[in-house]
Amino acid sequence: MENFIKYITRNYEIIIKELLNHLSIIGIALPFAVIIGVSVGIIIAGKPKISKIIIYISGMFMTIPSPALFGIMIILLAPFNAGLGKPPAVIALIIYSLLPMIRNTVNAVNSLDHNIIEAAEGMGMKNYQILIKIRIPLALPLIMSGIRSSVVMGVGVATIGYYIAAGGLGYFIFAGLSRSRFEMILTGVILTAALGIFLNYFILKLEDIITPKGLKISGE
Amino acid sequence: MPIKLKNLTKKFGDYTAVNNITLSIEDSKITVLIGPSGCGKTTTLKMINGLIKRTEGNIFFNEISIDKINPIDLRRRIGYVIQEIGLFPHMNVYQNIAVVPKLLGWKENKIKNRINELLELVNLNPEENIFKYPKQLSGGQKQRVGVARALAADPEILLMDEPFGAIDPINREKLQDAFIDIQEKIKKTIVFVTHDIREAIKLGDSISVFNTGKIEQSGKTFEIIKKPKNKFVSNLIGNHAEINTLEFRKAENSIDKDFSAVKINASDTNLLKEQKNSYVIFLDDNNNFLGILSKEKISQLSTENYLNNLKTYFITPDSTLLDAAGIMLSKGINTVPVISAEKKVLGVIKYETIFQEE
Repeated sequence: MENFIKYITRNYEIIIKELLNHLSIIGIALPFAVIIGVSVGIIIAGKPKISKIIIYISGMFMTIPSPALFGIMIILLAPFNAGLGKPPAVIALIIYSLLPMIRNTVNAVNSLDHNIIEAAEGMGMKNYQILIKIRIPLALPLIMSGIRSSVVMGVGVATIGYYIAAGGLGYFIFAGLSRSRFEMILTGVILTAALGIFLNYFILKLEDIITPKGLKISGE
Repeated sequence: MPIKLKNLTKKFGDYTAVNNITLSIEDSKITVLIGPSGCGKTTTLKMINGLIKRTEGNIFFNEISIDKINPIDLRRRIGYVIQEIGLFPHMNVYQNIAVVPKLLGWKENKIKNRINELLELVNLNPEENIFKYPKQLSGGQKQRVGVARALAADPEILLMDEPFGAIDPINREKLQDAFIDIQEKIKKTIVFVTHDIREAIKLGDSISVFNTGKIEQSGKTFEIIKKPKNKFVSNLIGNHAEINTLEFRKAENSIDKDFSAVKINASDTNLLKEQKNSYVIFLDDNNNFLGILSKEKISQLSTENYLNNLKTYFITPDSTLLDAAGIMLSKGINTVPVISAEKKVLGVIKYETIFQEE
């Protein structure tokens, strides 16, 4: 325990640097993952056959062990001189995030009450108006929870970034493991877990803020 | 706006949902489409606002074919109320009703005034309800908001697909009554789909009976009840349809002015015998209603005893013919006086009036 406190106080600069590194991998990957995942989800929703195939494929990506996926990224991106560092880590993270995003978006859009959509059509709303004014606001809470599970998962996955020189909190865990330094491992584990918990909480709050008021209140 | 359906057919693959129907929907009246589920009534309704494309035939609005009207414009000019109402749960009452006016580009001020007007019309307090969300409303209130929303841009046509279907029977009656009052004021062309014959008779100026994609019979509500064309229609309206309709007919529309009334003090036996009706109504000195006696009874009584034997039953003008029939049956008589709130005799309801041909 003494070692642990000593380690933190001596290395707080590195800790902050790697924490920011970690956040930046997730932060860069997230917007891409959201844009790709949510728009793919919206496009394929309502087409059961296509969405089944796409959800299946993105599910397959998720089963690839993360070190292997990072390895594949290195090979694939090497010709572009981007085999090491953040780009492969970010891309791998995007791929991992797709399944929860797409699946939740498809479910969200499909679970909308058929009557509501019919009423909107019957009132003379055009398709894009129905999408923007009705479908997306109503699907928002479920879409957000997809984003939340992607992010929380991403916190863990991004630790592998250490192996491909992307930096991040993985440094403390894996370097600590190879040097047999318990206090380093502990630092990495605590920070990763705390980051996961914090981001989960933060996005939950965000979900609450953007969920339309009419969906939150319960009947009288 | 009158609507004409001409040889209208809808096929879904091999299945014919609506089979060559022709129907004139009268301007400013309620036309009810009734039939068992799967009979094509909802499909027909949805073809009118283009939610379902017809396979053959044509639909005319004021003699203009539906093909010449942009479907989006058409739908914005037709109010549409569906069974589950379809209020948007993320929008409050104001925003829900404002949807079509906003699509039409109305100014905010005009929308605001219109919404207040509409909420008054459907009997919802604007201040109390305008910022409530659908989840905070009862089933009946939702339905009223649904009707207000359909009327928002003052459409000439209203399509209603079992709008009261999900409401409990007591509130359904209330909503139907409120709806009749609203239609009295707004006089829209309304096409109303239901599978409830009671509702059809109560609301419909005309009824079209659907069965397996065809119209079995269509006509004025009373024609359908008096002269069902075939077994299907008579089964649908049931054995007691004529009795049932009495409930929806107000006494004030069937008052017979041909009655006999005398002041009680002027009632000597000879005067009474001259009265041609079988019943005589007795009045006090201010011409207020006192009671009624049959001539048969009068002949058995002496003048002094009239007052003690007077029958005091009567109905008010806003009672229904069913109330009148109930009194006739329970008292074994054939004439019931109709008395105003000021105790004046307005006339009588006679047995023959109730059961005569319309």
